[in-house]
Amino acid sequence: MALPKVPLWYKDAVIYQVHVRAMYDSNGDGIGDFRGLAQKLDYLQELGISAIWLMPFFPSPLRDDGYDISDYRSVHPSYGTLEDFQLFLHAARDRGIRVVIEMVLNHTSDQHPWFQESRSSLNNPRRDWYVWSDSDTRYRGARIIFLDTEMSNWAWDPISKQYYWHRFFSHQPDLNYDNPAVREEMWNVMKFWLEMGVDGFRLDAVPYLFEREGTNCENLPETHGVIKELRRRLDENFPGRMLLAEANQWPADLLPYFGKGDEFHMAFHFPLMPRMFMGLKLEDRKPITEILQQTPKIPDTCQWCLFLRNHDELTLEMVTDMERDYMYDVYANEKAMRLNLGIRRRLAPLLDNDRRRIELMNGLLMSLPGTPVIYYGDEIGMGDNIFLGDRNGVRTPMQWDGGWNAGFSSSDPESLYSALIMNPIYGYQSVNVTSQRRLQHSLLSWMRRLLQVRKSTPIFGRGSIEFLYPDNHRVLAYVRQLGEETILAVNNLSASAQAVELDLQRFKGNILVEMFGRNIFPRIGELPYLLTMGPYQFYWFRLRRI
Amino acid sequence: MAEDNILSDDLLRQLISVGEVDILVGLHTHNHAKTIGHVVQVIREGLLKYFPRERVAVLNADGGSVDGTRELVRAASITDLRRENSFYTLRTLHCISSQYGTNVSNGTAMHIIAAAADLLRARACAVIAPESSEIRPDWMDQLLGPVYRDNADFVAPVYRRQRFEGILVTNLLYPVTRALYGKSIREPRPGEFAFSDLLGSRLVGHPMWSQDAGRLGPEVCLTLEALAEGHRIVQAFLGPKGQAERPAPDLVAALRQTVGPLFWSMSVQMAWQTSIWRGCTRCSAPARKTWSRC
Repeated sequence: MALPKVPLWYKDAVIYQVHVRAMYDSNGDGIGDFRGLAQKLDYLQELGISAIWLMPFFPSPLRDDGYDISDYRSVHPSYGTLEDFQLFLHAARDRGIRVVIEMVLNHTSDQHPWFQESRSSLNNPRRDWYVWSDSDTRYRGARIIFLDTEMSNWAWDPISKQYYWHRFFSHQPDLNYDNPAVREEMWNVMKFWLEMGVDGFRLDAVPYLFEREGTNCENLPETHGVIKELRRRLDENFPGRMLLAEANQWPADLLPYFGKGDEFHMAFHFPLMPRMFMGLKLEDRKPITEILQQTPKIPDTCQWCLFLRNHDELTLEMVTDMERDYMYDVYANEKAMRLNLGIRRRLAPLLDNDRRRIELMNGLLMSLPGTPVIYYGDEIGMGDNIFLGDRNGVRTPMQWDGGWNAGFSSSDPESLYSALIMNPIYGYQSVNVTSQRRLQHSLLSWMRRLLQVRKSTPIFGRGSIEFLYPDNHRVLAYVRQLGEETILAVNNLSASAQAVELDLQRFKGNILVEMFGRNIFPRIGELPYLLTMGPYQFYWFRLRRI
Repeated sequence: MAEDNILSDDLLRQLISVGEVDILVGLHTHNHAKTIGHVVQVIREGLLKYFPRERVAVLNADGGSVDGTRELVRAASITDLRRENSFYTLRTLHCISSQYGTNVSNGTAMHIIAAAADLLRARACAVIAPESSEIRPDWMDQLLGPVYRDNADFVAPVYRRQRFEGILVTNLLYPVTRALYGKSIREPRPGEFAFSDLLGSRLVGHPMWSQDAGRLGPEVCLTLEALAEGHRIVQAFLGPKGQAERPAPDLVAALRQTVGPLFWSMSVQMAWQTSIWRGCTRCSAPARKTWSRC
């Protein structure tokens, strides 16, 4: 079934990020697979998401959870076959769910045949597919991203007796985008999946495609040339598909990735995310409003992608040292929680499993301008395991029920790809889909309602935003507008009840209709509009003039 | 405004916006535009340097300035609308200002500051003289640190004074206080001081506010209250006591502001005094820093 051709569909989407191996194991080998994921599409449809972003599922030695790809045109055997993927794709489309897949442009696994060929000799035709050097002193301006594990961006290859460049793990050599053959081949890879029917790509690590001496080797102009070319070919051959940039940069540095609407359709707003957590802890809207004030206007066809958590650590790269220290102290007081300038915890543990805070943060996610991404498991408040190493603690099996292996797999528990979360607070016996489905007031039920309300209007995805600045700095209030429609969102970031007076005079005469309960609030008059709010409460009001 | 309510509606509205704080700094002003800008900037710098993560606010109780004093105080706020480009702050810093009336009264201003500190549940409150020309950022740490971090209840200043400066304080207040209360408080009438929430909550409903003593010399009453009630007192060396040129007050007024509150406090603390003489206790308040006198 073909999905309806909705221009700019990604602006209205709610994206669900999932790793196929974490979702559901259909064949009892302890690893989730595409057949299993297909069986859970009804759940996702019921939740109300409209697109799935799949983490890498390609063949890989899995030394970086699949981001080290050894074959771009296949499916890892643990997850199934290409046919299984196609079946899943069709099943998703039947339910009106689009599928966005990961595409790691910047690097491959060192086990990829391309690299094996490249390293085999200095004269190999693929030698120039990677970045080689006799010394490890070039590009000194480039920072090391995986600080906890890598000492250098160069690694010595004993086979070809040269250094190769890698911005991530040393087993992930960077492709050489100065080589036209590389650029052409990566387009062919993308075309392969586009012809199969995927709706878009999340392009991983795009700022690092090129290296130039005397620079920090990030966001170089040449990168945009590549992206423009990819985009041009995409629009020409596969209109309506989407490119999402993973570029952990300041908002001003992200703007070029949208080009003039001729590069990426979407980009993650990385700097906003830690500031949402910071604002909550500080009980002060300042971090949030400041970063959004600094966020430049993007082309009309483009969209920010917002998220609370994902498969990586909660990155603290795009914050000041003072902010980072604060975040570590208040959210990651144990060293084991910290990794690579970030915090490797899930949403619920970060928020002390406080239902009110979880709701508030999801409310912000759904009402701030952009397309929201829900990380799998956060809709039921899954916990994490910081002792699992790297970022695996936030990538544990989905908890479907309180029974055998949390309903994830029929295999022996010892054969699961990862241990389940088992503690009394977040363990699968207490936190699981089946239990929450039965409860009208569970987090899952609330999330479904939240998505329903969000989808009831296009304003959240497409509307403008204007902040109100009430004197009470604990309250974050903004107006979203699209055409004749206006929504007022008011958020109490504080753990205590607050009173706030909002200057709504220009909306005088409108009645406020609270969007969840659809009850009416007093009409806006001459005086400041007084609201009292409970701890961590938020309101979405639709303004109506009758 | 409700009767018998020292907090005006305007101030109350501003306090609601500020919300609960960890630290409050109070200023009493009346036409201090020449000095208040610098004083508030230094206070702000000190708060952001020594208490960068704490919830802090500056409250100006103004006696009806017509020279733009209140606006200068408000301009020092750091919010998401009013950013400070020279340094970064984690939090909003409210600098609020409200006029309490047109009859300038030290006591009224102090009472408002104490009441605000109590309402906002500030753990530590400092009061700074608006004409302090020698103020430094580290005064915030010296005054507020002992209260906020080390559980002191009252921090009195110690100044390096000129030989003939503050005659009433050095030659009358100080020795009488030492003799009667048994503690060596160098500045019983402090221009800058700090107090804890414990002491502050006692002050809000204190009878001194309805007396001349409290209206004219609240600092003296406060110091003696802290002494009499056995609060933990610390002294902080603040360096030279400079202040901008102001006409010298007349002797009668000066006596009413110093000696009057001293004797009033003595009279209400008769029971404590009696116990002191009976027990012959002698102790001295610990000095946070060494001090000297020129």
